[in-house]
Amino acid sequence: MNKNSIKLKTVLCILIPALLIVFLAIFMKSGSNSANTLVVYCSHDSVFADEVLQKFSAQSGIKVIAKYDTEASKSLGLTEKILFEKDQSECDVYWSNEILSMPALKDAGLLLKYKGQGYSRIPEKYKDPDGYWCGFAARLRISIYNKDLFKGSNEDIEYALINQADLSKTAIALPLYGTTLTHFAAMWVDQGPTKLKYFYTSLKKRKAQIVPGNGPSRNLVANGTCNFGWTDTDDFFGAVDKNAPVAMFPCRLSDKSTICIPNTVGIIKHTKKPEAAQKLVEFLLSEQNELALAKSSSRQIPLGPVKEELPADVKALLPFAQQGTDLRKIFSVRDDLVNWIKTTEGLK
Amino acid sequence: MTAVWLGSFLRAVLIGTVSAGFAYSLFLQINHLKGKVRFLFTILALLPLTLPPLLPAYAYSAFSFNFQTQPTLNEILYFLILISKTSPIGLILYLLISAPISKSASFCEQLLPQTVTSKLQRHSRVLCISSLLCLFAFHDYEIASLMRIKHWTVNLFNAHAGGLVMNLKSSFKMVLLPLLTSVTLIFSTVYLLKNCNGPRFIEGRKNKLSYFILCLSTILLLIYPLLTISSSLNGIKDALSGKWMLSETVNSLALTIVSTICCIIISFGVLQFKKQTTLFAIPGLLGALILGLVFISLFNLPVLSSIKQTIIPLCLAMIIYGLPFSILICLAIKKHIPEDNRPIDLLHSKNRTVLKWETIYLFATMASIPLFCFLWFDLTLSSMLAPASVTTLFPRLYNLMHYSENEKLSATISLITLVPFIIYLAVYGLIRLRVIIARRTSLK
Repeated sequence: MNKNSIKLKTVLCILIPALLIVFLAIFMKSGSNSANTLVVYCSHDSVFADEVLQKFSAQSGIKVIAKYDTEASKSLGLTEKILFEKDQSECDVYWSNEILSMPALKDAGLLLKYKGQGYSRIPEKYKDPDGYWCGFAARLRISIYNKDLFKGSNEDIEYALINQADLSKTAIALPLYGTTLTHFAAMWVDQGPTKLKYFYTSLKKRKAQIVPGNGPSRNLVANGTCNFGWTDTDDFFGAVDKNAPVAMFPCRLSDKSTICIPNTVGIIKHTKKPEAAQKLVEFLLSEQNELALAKSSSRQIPLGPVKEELPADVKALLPFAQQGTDLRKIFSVRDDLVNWIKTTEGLK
Repeated sequence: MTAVWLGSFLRAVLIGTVSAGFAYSLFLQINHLKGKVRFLFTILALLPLTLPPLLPAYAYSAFSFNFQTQPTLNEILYFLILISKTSPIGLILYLLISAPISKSASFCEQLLPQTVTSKLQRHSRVLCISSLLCLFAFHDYEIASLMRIKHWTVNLFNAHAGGLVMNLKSSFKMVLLPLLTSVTLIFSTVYLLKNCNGPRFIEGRKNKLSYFILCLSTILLLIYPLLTISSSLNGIKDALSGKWMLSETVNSLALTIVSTICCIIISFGVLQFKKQTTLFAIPGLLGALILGLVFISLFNLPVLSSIKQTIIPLCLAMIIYGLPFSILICLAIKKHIPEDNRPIDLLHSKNRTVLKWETIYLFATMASIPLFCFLWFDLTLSSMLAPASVTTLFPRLYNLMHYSENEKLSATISLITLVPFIIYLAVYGLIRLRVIIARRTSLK
């Protein structure tokens, strides 16, 4: 083969793929820049969020493109993505399924202040006082137990978690992400770091099942591998709907308050469509949406007043939600907790 | 971290060695069988290639919890699943680097004086396949993660929780040892592949072990996972008619086809740089997570930010990710096809066309199946780099798994599994048609 032939082949091997990629890019041209389209980063499960966003589109005529989180990208979750992209993020509105991500975005100066009608209907402890983000439709942290295997009370579970020598039949998600991280952060503030560190180390020593997420924790209890564990109410109802023999108690802190974790929403500062973004925020914070989420199979608990009758399951949760601790006090401990868990798990 | 890396490496070496043996056993049986039975056996043996790794990962995530108190049993189960998953890749490689040279030619070869080099060359095939399968096992993430196996990829993901992502330097530091391991493995695979003495004849023989392997992989990777998700078929119709299903399938398909074609074209180009070939594979060996992080940083630069919201970053990342595998496949294709085309070129132009389509093109197409599946099943890069307007199938699949939406999950899995089959059957049919037309023309 002569040199010219090699050169030609090399050029073709670059040129053909380049052309193919350009064609693909044209074929999949992004419509996210259109004035009537909102890009929503959403860490709430697509199974439920899709319906909500479609309803908003139908009502407002604003097209919504949603980017969802997955377990696989939990390490580079949507919050991290927005923090990393800064002013170049294509995201207009961020709908998070928990509360810890919003303060980080606020501190980085990436959120836009907005206090609308929806904001005013949500209780103080579930929203940012300056209006950078607001909570809605919450779920509770609970102890789920298998009715066939465990007959005790909430106090029995709490006692076992502290004193029982063998916890191999207890499931708890790794407290590095999501609502379990929030739960541990609340305990860190409630009991102090020393006590919490001892508790977690002792859980591991006593062979508690530290699983990758709340879903697996629920599954282990539902299928009878574990007697009880910690998870969220939406996961719990997933098992109930599949007729698993499970029941639950709300997790409580030392002052008997519960851990009620809302969805949160914030407008990204660099959005070019602030009006459309505000409309979506209003929709998400509305009574209509909270009611719809309460009626969905995830049975989210409305935080604002709702006139219409709630489903029985959600109604039963309302008193517990009202006893929810003020989660705003846990924001400052998040990083310390994450760093400590990483060190303990040998991830550093 | 070092202990986990070492454990992962040793496990991968064991898996690679056993899988290579299993693949050889399947290969012998395929060579022994004839006609339709051979076809069916081959299809069944290669079937695990077309199944997404998330399927067994999801199916065994709950099952493996039964082994909480006996981690050894969990390890054994993981080991068996990985062997079943990697053996078909080994089989493909055996099929690629073996050719029907006559039995007498093979016998003559054995009569030649045996030197250390020639002995090494004789065994380089199996060493090369072991080394590649070891690389695959070493890079597994989905199954290890959901089965709670202590694996370096799982640790790497967990270590990135809570903001480490902002610091690429730390990420590189973490991935240094695994990267060195992967580079060593790919260097050895390429070296052995280059030095194995061309396509050779391997006589097929009846092999009872192959039936055991086939049963094992069918039960572990097909029957049990499908039973887990197929609790009800009622919702399949609804799920299939969902708006997202069609658009996300088209998106994923377009992306995978373009990435596969680009990978193969670039690999053939890369093979021209004989000594530096392996260097081009190194970025892909960083793994999907680190590659994704690098691409996010890169396309955040002001110069490139204008194309950040297009499919280009994802497509480029997928090409780089697929390149190590693609280079090996193209190297195997090159081994299979004689460099000296003069005997073919001497033929009448029409006969030449028939022969080229029947051998080279058909072979190259079939050889690209594993690469297509490898890219088709990508989850990490798609989750990290796809623009909001382009959703692919796998992030959706993960969501369905999380909420045990089994009806929709069944539909999605069926579609995902069927797509590579349909695509390749269509391509195979087209090539066959081209051969028939060319043959008819040559007879006139």
